[in-house]
Formats: sequence, C-alpha cells, structure tokens
Amino acid sequence: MKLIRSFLSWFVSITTGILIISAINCSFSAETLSASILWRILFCGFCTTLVTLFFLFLYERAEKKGQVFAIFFFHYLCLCIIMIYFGSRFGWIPATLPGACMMMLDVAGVYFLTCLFHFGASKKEAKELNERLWHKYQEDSQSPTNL
Amino acid sequence: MKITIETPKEGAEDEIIIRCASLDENLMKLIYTLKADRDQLAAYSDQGIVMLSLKDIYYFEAVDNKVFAYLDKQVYEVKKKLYELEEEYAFTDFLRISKSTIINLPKVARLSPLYNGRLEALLKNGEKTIISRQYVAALKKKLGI
Repeated sequence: MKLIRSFLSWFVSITTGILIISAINCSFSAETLSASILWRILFCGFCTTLVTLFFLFLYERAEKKGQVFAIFFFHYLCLCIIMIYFGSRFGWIPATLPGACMMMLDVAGVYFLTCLFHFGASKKEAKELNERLWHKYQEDSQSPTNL
Repeated sequence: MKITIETPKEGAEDEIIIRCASLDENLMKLIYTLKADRDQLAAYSDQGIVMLSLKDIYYFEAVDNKVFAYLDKQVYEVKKKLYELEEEYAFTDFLRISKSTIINLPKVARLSPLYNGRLEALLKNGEKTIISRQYVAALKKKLGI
C-alpha cells in the first residue's frame, strides 16, 4: 500500500512536470497537436516513475554524500536516455545531438519541478514534526511534575 | 488516570503498584523511568569505565563494529550492539533513525527536510544527523502523529 502511494505521488508530480515542460515547448512550436500526445506523456510519466522509484530505493540505502551524488547522476542519466529514446520515437525531438541536448534540458526542468514539489511536501512534514517535538519535549521539560 | 499515595506500614518497603487494563506506551515509558538501573549505562573511555546518564546522551552511533555514545562534548564506547540498545530502550525517548544511529529525541533542536524524504536533525549541541526516509514513519509514530 505504501509502495502504491509512493508510486502515485511520484507519478502525479513527474507527469505534471512533463506536462508543464511540454506546454512550454509546444508554445514555441507551430505544429498542431493530436490527442495521442497526452497518452504519450502519461506513458513517459509511468516509465520515468518506475525508474525514479528504483533510484529512491538506492537513495534510502546511501550513507555517504559521494554515494548520494553518484546515484543522483545515474538517475538523471537514465531519465535522459529514456526520454531521448521515446522523444525521438514520438517525434518530439530530432534524433540529433542538439535534439538530445534539448531533451536533457527538458528532463532537468522536470527533475527540478518534481524536486520542488516533494521538497515542499517534506517541509510541511518537518514543520508538523517540529511542532510535535516541541509540544512533547519542551512543554514536558517545563512541567514541574515531569518524571 | 487516578494517582493515590499511601503511607506503608512501619518497616515495609516502598512499593509502586500499577493497576491498568492494558500496558500502553505511556505506562511502559513510566515503568522504564521508574526503574533506576535503566537511567544509567556503562561506557568506556581511556580513563576506564564510566556510568553515563541516559538523559545526557545525544545519540548512539555504530562505527566499524563498535558503538559509541555521544554526549554534549564527549564520546564514549558502549559494549553493546546497536540492536540491543534499540530493544532495551524501545519504550524510552531513544529512536533508531538510520542503520547506524539511535537518537535521543529530547536532544533534537530542529528537524529540516532534505532531498528524497530524508530529514536532518539539528541537535542541541550543534551536531547534525540524518534521519533516513524509512525511519521517518517510526519517528512520526513516536511523536504520536
């Protein structure tokens, strides 16, 4: 259940990120879009969420900063490979070096947006925990009947 | 909860009787607090054996198959495994926050979010330690969330 919730949370944030970046890109394109683009965005969101969950599993087990950075780098690389492949298959980017670079920038944009969203959620969680921590220990320590 | 204090008969030993329908976490914590021998832990330094008061310990950390107790400025080696400390102090304010660390929650000044659902705990002596994502749920449960 926890895994499903985690998957859904990341799927929604990643897919929303892809949607935003796609909307920005489409604003500068003269092409008309078909309905299939929405299914393709959902499909890319699904694939990249699966990869993200795998790397999150590795992040949790990383103890040293060096390990975290290495996992981050390979996570980004995997996402770029997946999106460059599907991007060229779906005709979103030309199968050229500039096209690949453009997609890598787009992936970085989605990565940033998704991290921002999840960081915001973590910040809210930390605030709640801090309040609870204060009530449980700071108030208790001020109580004259504290054991 | 009703608290009754009675004077025992002359010569009788002081006794604490707990009457309860079931032992919940608060009662277990109370029992642990009342047991005097739980408040101290034997530790080792260059000077020999030292008795540490649990409330002075900020966190335990396992490094190279050894466990160390970190106080405000001092560090002592503890001859127990981390999992043993985790079990022994399960109903106290000590909480496992990663594979190698058990933290004393009253010593936490503030929690800050980090990347990937981890939290950083700033301790009251200025040190920082990381709470792994998989232990955040246990932290929430300990704090009653």
